[in-house]
Amino acid sequence: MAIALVYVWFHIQATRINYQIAEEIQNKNKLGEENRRLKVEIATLTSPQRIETIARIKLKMCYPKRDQVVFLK
Amino acid sequence: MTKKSKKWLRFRVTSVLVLFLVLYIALLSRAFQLQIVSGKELKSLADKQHTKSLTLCPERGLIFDRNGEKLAMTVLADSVYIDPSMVKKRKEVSGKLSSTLCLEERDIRKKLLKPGNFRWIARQVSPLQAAQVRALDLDGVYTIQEPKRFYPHREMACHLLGFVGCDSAGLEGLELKYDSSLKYAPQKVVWGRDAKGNRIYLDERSTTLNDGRGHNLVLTVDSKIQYIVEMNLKGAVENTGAKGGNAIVMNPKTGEILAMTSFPRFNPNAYSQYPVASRRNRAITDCFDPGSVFKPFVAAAALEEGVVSESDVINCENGSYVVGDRVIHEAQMKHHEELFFPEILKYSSNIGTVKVAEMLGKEKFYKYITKFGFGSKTGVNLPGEIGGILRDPSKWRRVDFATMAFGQGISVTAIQLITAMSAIANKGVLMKPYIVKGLVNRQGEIIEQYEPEVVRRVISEDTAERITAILTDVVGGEGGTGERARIANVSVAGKTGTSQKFDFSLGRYSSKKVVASFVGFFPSEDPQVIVLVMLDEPKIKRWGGVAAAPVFKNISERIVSCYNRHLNLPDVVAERHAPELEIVQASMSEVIPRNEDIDESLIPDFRGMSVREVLKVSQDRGIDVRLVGSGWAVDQKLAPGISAETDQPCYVLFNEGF
Repeated sequence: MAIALVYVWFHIQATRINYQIAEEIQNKNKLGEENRRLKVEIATLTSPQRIETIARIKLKMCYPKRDQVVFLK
Repeated sequence: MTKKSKKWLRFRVTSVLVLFLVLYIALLSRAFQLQIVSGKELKSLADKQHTKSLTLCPERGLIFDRNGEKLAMTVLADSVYIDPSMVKKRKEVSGKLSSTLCLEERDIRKKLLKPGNFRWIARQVSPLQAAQVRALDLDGVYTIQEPKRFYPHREMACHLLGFVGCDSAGLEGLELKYDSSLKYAPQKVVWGRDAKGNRIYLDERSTTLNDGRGHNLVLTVDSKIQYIVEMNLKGAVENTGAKGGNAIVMNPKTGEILAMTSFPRFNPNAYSQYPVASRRNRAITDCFDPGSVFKPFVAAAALEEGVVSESDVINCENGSYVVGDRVIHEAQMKHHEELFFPEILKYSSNIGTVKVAEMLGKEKFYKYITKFGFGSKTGVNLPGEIGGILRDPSKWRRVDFATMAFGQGISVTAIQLITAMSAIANKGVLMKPYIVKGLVNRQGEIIEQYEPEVVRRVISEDTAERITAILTDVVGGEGGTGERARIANVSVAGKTGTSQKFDFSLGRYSSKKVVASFVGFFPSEDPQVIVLVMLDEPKIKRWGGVAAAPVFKNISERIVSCYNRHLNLPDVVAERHAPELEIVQASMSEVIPRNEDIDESLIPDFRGMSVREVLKVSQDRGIDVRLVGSGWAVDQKLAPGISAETDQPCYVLFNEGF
């Protein structure tokens, strides 16, 4: 009788954990998608076209002339 | 008990027995039918009810540039579909969908009338549209997430990357060429479902179907250089009113393509909105008569064969030379009496080149230009390359041979031209151009790596150096045609070219339609970079030396500014990591004498200086400084007053709130 009870208990535990795993996998997928979305955002924001537009228009920057460039060792 | 009642009892027992037997047999046969006859079928039906499969988004491999910058990636986009059998109010559905998705109402209605239970309405719509469709909450209208290729840099390197269709299949460029390596089969996860519909993880039934590989592609392209090239070429095409143009930047020693672009460009995120013509990678699919840029190859062949030397004087016939039934003139109707052999290239004399080619002879001329790779594909790993047009020498008339010497009557692609010029820059060895550095898997391990490939030796090292010296004079010498390609402090070797285009409507070479080009490499003593610029039909500034050479100069100057001439191109194959900087702790240091400010051999006190001042002072004194932060200097690693002649770099910490 006791053995049967222990067996049932294990079974219930296993099912409970399986529910949790399913939930966590879903969570993982969601986070993976979020991560991917953020990576796309980074790539879009670091696009040289965008940076140059901001530098030129908003920050009024321009390219240095040859004599303004100093090379460090 | 009477005999009669006994009989009756036996009868009842027997009939009950028979009844049970019949029922038992019926039960057994039903069990047999359920378990054995249609068991498999029923099991699969039950599985369908108990389990639910979820398809994970198949992530196509990414495309990186050589520094780990992402050039192509995958995002999820919503697509809208309908189940016509579930749609009750057809008119309402078609009306609302057409206004939300900007589609023809008629088309939607047609789809609604068709039998079946699945029809696409719109694929890969914007997140806003998808949200609107969901908000409409119409019966039988659903949205589903599908992977969509996304190019964060929009038009940049569009012809190289190509694009991907709706069903994740590469259709152009590298996406097409490396489709089998990039694509990734959808991954399926099977869930169990309980009575309430909650999900249970079923380990043994989780299935993954991975026949695609989903590797990442690493290119030889440097996105910084690619950007520089595209912006400059765009400006030049607009300023000269040209129909289009190409530019390629290569490492002549290895054949790695650092940048390649064609105009007009397209946005691969919305490729269907652009005409097919603008999606063509003209640098490899279109050929043109090279014009004078071709002359160095003739000169190289002549030097290699020893038919001329630098001290030889060539009679340039004062600007008109009769070959067969034609008269050959100099460009811009110039007149040259006699020129030294190097001056033929410097002033780009047509007649001089024809004479050199005649001295060389048809067979040798043909041998060398094929050795330089003209007339055959370079084998660059991009789809759609053509081999140009080089006719068989037995079919050449005398005048054909003569015009071919100055690059008319032979058609080459931009990639052929730059590869051939690279052979001169690379001490006479022709390298195979390549654009893919390697394939890496998702864990960053290298799956395949492409190495520089030598094709053949075309000319000797000595000849290559002599031609390079002549080409350096074309740009650097007084009155050379390539003057406008000069860069301060860097010696450039190069050649301009202007060629007439063949007008198919007139059946002869057009005097108005030209191709202006420039190919050059630098620094000429140890070539690191070779650049080709070609403008198709410029309307203003129609000469290569005026239209294309300044573009070369702008591109090269920016490359030099970015890389300090020594293009120490990193061999990064994995994703980029942030550079590690040693942060110097800001602390108050003891009071020190200020004599180091006067004594040039000592480390000065940088504190309070701007970045610019620190750079200037350290350059004057030859100190190896490393800058951390921005603003004003607040601390330095090497104490002021110690000797500047040390191997250690001096870290200087800057702070904006000083």
